[in-house]
Amino acid sequence: MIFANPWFLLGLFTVSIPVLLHLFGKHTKKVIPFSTLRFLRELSRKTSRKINLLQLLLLILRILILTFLILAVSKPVIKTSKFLFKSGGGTTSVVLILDNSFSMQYEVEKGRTAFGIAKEIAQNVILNLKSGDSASLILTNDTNSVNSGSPSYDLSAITENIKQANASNLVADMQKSVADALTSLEKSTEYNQEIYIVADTQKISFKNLLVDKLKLSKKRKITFFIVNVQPENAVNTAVLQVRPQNYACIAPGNISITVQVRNFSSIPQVKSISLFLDGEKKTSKFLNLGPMGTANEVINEKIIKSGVHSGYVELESDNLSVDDKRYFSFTAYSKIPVLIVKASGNSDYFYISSAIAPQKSESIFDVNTRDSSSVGLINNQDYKVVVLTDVTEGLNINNYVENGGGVLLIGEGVKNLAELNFTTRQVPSLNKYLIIDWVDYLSPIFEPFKLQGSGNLSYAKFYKIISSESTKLPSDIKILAKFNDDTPALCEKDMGKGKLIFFASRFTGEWSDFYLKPTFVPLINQIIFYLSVPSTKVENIAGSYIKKEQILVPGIHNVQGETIPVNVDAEESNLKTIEPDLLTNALPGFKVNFIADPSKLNEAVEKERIGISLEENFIYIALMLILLEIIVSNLLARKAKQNA
Amino acid sequence: MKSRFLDPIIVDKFLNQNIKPKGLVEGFVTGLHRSPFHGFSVEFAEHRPYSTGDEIKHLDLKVYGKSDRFYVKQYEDETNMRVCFLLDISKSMSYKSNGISKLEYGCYLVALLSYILLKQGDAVGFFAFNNSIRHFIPPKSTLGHLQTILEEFEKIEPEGDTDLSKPLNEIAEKMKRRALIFIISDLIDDEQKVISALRHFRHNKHECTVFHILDEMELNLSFGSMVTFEDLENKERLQVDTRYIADDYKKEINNFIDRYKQSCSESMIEYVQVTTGIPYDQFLTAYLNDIR
Repeated sequence: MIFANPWFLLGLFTVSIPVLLHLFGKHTKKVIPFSTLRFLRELSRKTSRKINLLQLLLLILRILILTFLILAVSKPVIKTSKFLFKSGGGTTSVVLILDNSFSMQYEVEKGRTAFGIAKEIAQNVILNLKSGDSASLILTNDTNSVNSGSPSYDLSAITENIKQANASNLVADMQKSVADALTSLEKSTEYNQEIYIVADTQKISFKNLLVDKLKLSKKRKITFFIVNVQPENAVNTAVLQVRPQNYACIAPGNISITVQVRNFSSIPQVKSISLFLDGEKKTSKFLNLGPMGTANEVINEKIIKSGVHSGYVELESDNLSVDDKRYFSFTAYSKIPVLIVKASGNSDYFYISSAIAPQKSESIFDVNTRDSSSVGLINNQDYKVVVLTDVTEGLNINNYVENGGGVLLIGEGVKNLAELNFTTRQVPSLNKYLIIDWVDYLSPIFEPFKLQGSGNLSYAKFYKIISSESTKLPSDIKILAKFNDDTPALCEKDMGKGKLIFFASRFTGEWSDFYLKPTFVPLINQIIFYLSVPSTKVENIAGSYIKKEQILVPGIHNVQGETIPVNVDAEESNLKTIEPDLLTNALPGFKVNFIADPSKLNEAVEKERIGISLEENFIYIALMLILLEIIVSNLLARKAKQNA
Repeated sequence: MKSRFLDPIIVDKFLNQNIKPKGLVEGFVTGLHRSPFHGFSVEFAEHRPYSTGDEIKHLDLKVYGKSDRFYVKQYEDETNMRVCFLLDISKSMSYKSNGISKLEYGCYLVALLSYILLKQGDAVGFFAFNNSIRHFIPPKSTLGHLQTILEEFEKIEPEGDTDLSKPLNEIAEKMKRRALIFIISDLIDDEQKVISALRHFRHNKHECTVFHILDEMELNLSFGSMVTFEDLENKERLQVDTRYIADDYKKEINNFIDRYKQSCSESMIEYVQVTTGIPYDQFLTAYLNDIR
């Protein structure tokens, strides 16, 4: 027998009250001297036996009444045989987690998506609940705000919420959804506590799921039913990436757009891709995709006009169409004007200008070099990027950056950011040097070095660096690379519409040999180009916030005058399902039922949910005992009255 | 004559009361009562045929002259009465549920009856007993004898267990002359033995009256709750819920009374049940009216 409210069992101590009253209530201190006990002795023996029996019966009845009442409020449930009880009698609390990530838009059959099936299953679960059961709904991406909190007894409202639920273009976060489900069941006292996860059980959705991380206050008896709605051998191909080179080009000129397409199935596929630019279909190609194969296609397009260009690459439609289209945008410049400000007598500027514009006519950068003393107020219209090489004072760059300009600070120029309190620090001995040993590859400036063998930044040696005295940098400063002594090498700071990158060393032999390394030119080009692009991300995932606005739908969006391409998360395109064992391990302490075939769900539920609630039965028994107690106590009272 | 057992106001009510025995009594002075002795008195009773041994002086020569047969004259004479009070002073007699115990009630009865009897010239004697005779005052007919009895009452303390048969038999043996015996007791003892002892008095030609004194509570046991009773004589304790046994108890005590009534009636012993709840003067008035 299991008790849903076991704390009430403490009330069983009250059973001792009638026992104590029975034992000590009889004892009286009142002693009455009497002429003779001759007549009383025998009568007492005869009558007492009868009365004692009745009083004992009354005591037993009262103990039983209290016991059954306390047991009833403790909500007892017994596990019993299916042969005895047709269906479970214990009340049930259900939390339905519906995966509405974009992979659930997979068309299982004509006009029927995986999400549609999931909704049917969810409705069926609610339909199989009985009066007194409760349920709540959790969508992994609650874009329509239909999620309910703690389980509600209004099952029709939950059914209505399920009907209203839609698949999103986002990725599922099962960790959060399971945490929410466990929280909503926290106060539930029902015998059956069940969490249903109706999903396509993608590995990607469950990759972070580990209940131990949820810091549960207590482990409870909760049964998980994980229902897989993804058909066997589901086939999906997706456009994983569309990357215009540098996200910028010179107009008129060419831009190469790299397209990555992947076949997520074990069946070879031949698919056509089409490039649409500025609303026009530009080109189409066929791609041969082997089992789990990836194809990288570079499409070159001629760009005539300068300005922002946007488009998408579309893959021949399959069962999951949302990831068959990927949007992009880039900026075509006629030339990117760059100002390099040099301090007198330093040579850093030479290496930088050589790196970004070795031959002026072929470079996309129009480089202008000036002494710090001759630079006045810098106009945003004149220069897209300003490089300050070891320039420590005399320039106010704040307005320039806030209005959309990009600034690269090198060497002592970093000290322009007074709030950081940077100082120059010599690495102790010439034999000793620092290297860059950590890089944030998520930053676009490291795009050329992402792939293995495409350049290693750690080959450069740094003998002298500029580091901050404060151990902790302000939160608005993002570290892009670190030296091996954990001090920042490259940092980024967003200021208004523009951004600022600073390098904590210099490009001279005294400071480093970085300018001699092959990674120097591409990195400097990447940084300057990155600084020239307005401070918005070049690619955004649906669901992310752009300038405080959440974009839920993939496409080309205009946010506050800027063209932003928004795409679905390519990781979600991989429909590979998680192994049931991993799920069981991810939910330790819980009973996990992995239902590969949704039609077997009811059977599995019935098997788990066989319990009969004795609450009502115990109340009836207690009421009958109360009736019996009234009869017996009346009998005793009548006997006493007759004698009185 | 001052005593708490003899209230002058109550005594006044009984100034003109007389007590006459239902049977014959042996006395020693001329009094109210008929004497069992014939031949010495002044009032003729009957003739009987002469038999050998009769004194010739008692022959009625007038009858002989008329009938030629010898008859002897017999006379009735009036005499005073010998009365003895036998008061049970066992501890059970000390029980009282209201203001007066059974023993006190008995003392009041004896005192008032003694006064009436002495006033009418009868001799009054007194025995107090429990399981043996504890106090004895021989019968005397002077009114001053009442003071002796009353003084004796002051000395009486309830003591000892009840064993009625032994002292009653002892007293019966002691009393050679016929007398009127009043036994005042709660009769809580073996009924057969008590009746047997009372029959002893009857066998010795005594007139016997039993005042069976009981308390109200002894009759109805109306304590109404769980009570621990302590036996006054042997200190034994018994816990009883009187709510449940009172009815059966009443039946039992009534049976006990009825058995005494029946046995006394069969043995020609007058049985009177007295309850301490009724004032003794009221009871006595009723009793005297009844026997008149």
